[in-house]
Amino acid sequence: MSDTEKLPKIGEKRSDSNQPLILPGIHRYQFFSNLKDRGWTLNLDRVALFGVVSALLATIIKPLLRGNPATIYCYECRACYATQDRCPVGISLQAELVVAGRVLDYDRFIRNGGLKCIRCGNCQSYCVQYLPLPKMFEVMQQETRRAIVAGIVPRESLTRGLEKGLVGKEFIDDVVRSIA
Amino acid sequence: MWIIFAFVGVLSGLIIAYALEMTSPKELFQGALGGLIAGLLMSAMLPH
Amino acid sequence: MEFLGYITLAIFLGLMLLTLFGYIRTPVQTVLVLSTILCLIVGGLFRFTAYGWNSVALMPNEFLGGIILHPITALLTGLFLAGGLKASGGFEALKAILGYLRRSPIGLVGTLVILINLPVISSLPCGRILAAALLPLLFTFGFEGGLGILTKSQLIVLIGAFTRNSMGSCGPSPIGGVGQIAEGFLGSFFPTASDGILRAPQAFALMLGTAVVALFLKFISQKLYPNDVALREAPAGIATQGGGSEIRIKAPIQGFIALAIFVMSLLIAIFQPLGKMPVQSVLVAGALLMIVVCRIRLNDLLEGIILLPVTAMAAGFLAAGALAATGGFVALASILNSLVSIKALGVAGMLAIFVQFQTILPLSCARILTAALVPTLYLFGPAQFNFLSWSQLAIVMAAYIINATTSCGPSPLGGGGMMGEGTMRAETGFIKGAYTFASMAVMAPMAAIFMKFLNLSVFQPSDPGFARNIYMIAAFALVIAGVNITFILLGSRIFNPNVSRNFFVQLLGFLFSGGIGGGILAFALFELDTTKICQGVLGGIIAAALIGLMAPKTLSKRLTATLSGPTP
Repeated sequence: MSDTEKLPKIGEKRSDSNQPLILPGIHRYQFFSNLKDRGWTLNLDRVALFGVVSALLATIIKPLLRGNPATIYCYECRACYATQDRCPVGISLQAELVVAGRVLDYDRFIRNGGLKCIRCGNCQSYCVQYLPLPKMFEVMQQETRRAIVAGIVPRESLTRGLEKGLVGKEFIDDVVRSIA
Repeated sequence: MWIIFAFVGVLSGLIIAYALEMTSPKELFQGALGGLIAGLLMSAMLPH
Repeated sequence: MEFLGYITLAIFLGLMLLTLFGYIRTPVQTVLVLSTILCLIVGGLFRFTAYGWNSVALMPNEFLGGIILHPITALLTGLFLAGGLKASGGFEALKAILGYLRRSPIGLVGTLVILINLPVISSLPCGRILAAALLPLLFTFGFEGGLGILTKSQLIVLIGAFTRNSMGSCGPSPIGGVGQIAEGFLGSFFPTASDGILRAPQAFALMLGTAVVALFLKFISQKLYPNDVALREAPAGIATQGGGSEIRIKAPIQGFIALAIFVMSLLIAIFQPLGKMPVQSVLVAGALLMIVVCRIRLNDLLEGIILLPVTAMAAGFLAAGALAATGGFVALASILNSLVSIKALGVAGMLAIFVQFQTILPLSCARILTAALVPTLYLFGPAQFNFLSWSQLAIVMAAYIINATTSCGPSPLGGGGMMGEGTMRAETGFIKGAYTFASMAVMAPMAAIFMKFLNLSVFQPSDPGFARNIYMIAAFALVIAGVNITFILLGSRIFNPNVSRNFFVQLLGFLFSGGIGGGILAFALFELDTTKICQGVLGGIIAAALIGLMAPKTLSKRLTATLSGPTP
């Protein structure tokens, strides 16, 4: 029997023995090869898979192109939260800034105090991988500044940031100008 | 710390041996011994 | 915006429940992407009305923020190594070594107990790394794998317990484990919390919980779902354990070298003697070294990669990112918070439900919800609501985090437990009852007790208020294990062929154990305050009802259809 003949027809369940064997015992895991078995959702599944893969690629490629590749390595373990009082400007959720830097989420960056960071590096010592957090924050600060100047960042994010004292003095002029 | 991990290792070793249908005294002893080693290794990996 | 959060939360939960119960028959990835798109549409409309186009244009970026690359890449590198080990004969070498161990004083059972606990001992930041590498080895213990040492039932217990241990080992990991999320927050009060204040309670609870899972799989799961594991028994006449002459396994020298490289990579990843570096880099370096030294092809490594967990996880992260960006998690936190105002529940009851939340709603990676809910839990402490003191917060965190970290195990949405189910060729959902039961009834209360009676005094020795009483921990371990083992054995005796009745018996067991677990948690927090303990019991029962009802009644008709297409 050829491989094509072995494939189940649409709507049929593939039997355990004719699933592709990759490692002993876990061949049912070749899950997407089973997509052709699922009749009415065939195209929806393809679109979904395309969406998932694109999202993954975007998450990796974006920081590479924007000069912030170190953000890819973050475990998001949040060990950096232990910085606590040792952060001179009172940022408490450093990992949020890293993630914001990776995907260019300006609102998240501003909301968590990214624009008031003075890049002292105290949080870096808590990172289990000793990632260059100050450098990563600096790159994102410059990205955010560019976005503010270009008028991309929503007014509400900036207004809220100003009201809560989340904007450092080096960025205040740009923020005020953008709001005005 | 190591005492309590040795204890839980032995306890879990006994239970696992029982679940694996290895219930002769020798097998239970071996299960407990394996659990003891696992417990001690675990405690060695923890911060003191 | 608050209203938007409730809508997106309802969309997500609705779609998940419809998938879990088999009404939507499509792979989870598709459902999760669908949930993301719906959130994008609803959120986009809201944002456009409230803040204008700029805000809408930035939404995809916010959604992408939900993707956590670490478990995805960790899994890929683990699979890479597994592929390398397989191609170079590493598994044959492992079998040979296990053969020697079997003949040593610890025997077969001692070797298996160590093997089952290996993930928590090595504590890698994602349980999938070791599971991907070692599950194929465990499979070889059965008849189909070649060794024929274990029977089908024993193999189910072995694989199930090992996978349970793996899918909780990311909690106590000091190199990017899930527990570090909470440890970071506890650092506000305990100066050395980031050294691993939650590691010992998690490891202790996981070891005990793994044993209870083994027992549950043997006495409950196999009786509830007798026809849902496709593993084969050895045909009559073929020797299994104890019988027949033992075959001496010969392995190629490359296999031993590959194994040595694998072990060295793991040790370097765990102890980081060459300085801090991502565990993935170390493992990939190990895999590349295998190519050079063991003469294997890159294709061999690539063949080890399994796509489902990777894509399911990524889709889960996307959906979580969509929820976070549209305020879904804020809505969830405020719902949980509002439970305090119900008099019968109070703080103790609410916390008993809160700590079990990730077991109630297990997602493909614990980090998805943990990153959203730990900050909420933190606010229950002195930082905002003042429901709890710092020490109480540490106790709740210990109970919460072990539940959270083990939640990828029972998740049918691409969780790590599916790797175990695949290996034992079981229907998806086979292990769910065992895994959720152990997390709820054993691990959460045990972690809380460990934190109360030992770990707080270790991390704050200057405070005499923190008791150190290991006898108390041992007594609670015996009681918790004893009670739950009794329930398991009792339940298995009263099961009969009536599926609905069996499900009801199991649910009853969940309710009893959940109530006891909630009561113990309340005791750990508020000591002998009867009202609080009663509230804890009630909270525990509510959580247990939700968990028990989510455990599948039957498997073949429902989840097979969900995950592998309709049965002809």
